[in-house]
Amino acid sequence: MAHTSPNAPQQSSSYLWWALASVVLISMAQLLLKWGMTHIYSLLPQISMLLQSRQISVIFNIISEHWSWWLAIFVGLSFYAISMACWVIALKHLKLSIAYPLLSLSYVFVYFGAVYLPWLHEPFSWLKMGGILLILAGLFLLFFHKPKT
Amino acid sequence: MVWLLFICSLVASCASQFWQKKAALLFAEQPHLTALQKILTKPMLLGIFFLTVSAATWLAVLSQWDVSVAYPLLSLNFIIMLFVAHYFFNEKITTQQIVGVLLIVLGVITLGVSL
Repeated sequence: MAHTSPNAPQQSSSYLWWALASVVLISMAQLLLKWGMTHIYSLLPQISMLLQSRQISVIFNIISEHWSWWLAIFVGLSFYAISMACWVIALKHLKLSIAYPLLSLSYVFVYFGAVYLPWLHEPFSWLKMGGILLILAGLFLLFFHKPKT
Repeated sequence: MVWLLFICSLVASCASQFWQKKAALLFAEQPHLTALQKILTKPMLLGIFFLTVSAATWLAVLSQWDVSVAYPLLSLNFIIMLFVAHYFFNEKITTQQIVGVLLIVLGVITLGVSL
């Protein structure tokens, strides 16, 4: 008899942390990419003008002057990669039907990040808050059900 | 045209999850693989490939569609993944799980519409 044991609860709870880490990393990646990309977008007209007039060295100056935006994008993309590694580790023992819905938590994290981080400060809205509560209610149902023996 | 891209993104993202789960099962079976060997296994390479395809097509969709349409539609993934989990990995799906996932989908739709 092969022992491909379906998740024993004690086992899967520690793998839940890997899944949570993955979701937190994805959320941070999205906030970092959003922050970096919006700023870099604002530079694009200037850069394309300089390209046309072939002032390449000035372009390098602009890029190095705003290194923090590029760093944000680099770190954001690396977080994506690390998050995928955490996700695969989590999936070793978590059922896909339990783990996958957990990804919806990233909507919650990103929302609060976008509203409360001073450098993004998107407006608060009650309708969005309602959406967040629905997601949390759904996750609650998924994770707090009586285990059948 | 954008619909095709959207479906492509949806399918690729599910395929990526499918292969990541396959990879996880393989690594559980063969714990002695090094990190590099793990990345170079077929399921992991396919998982990364489909993730890239889904991200690229998703960006193309977002450039055409309003986020308030795109995000609610993307939440279809949560429902499709229940079927994938059940039919490909023989996972038991309870009614409570289905209700939970539907609440999540409703939440994402609410978020998307209010954007």
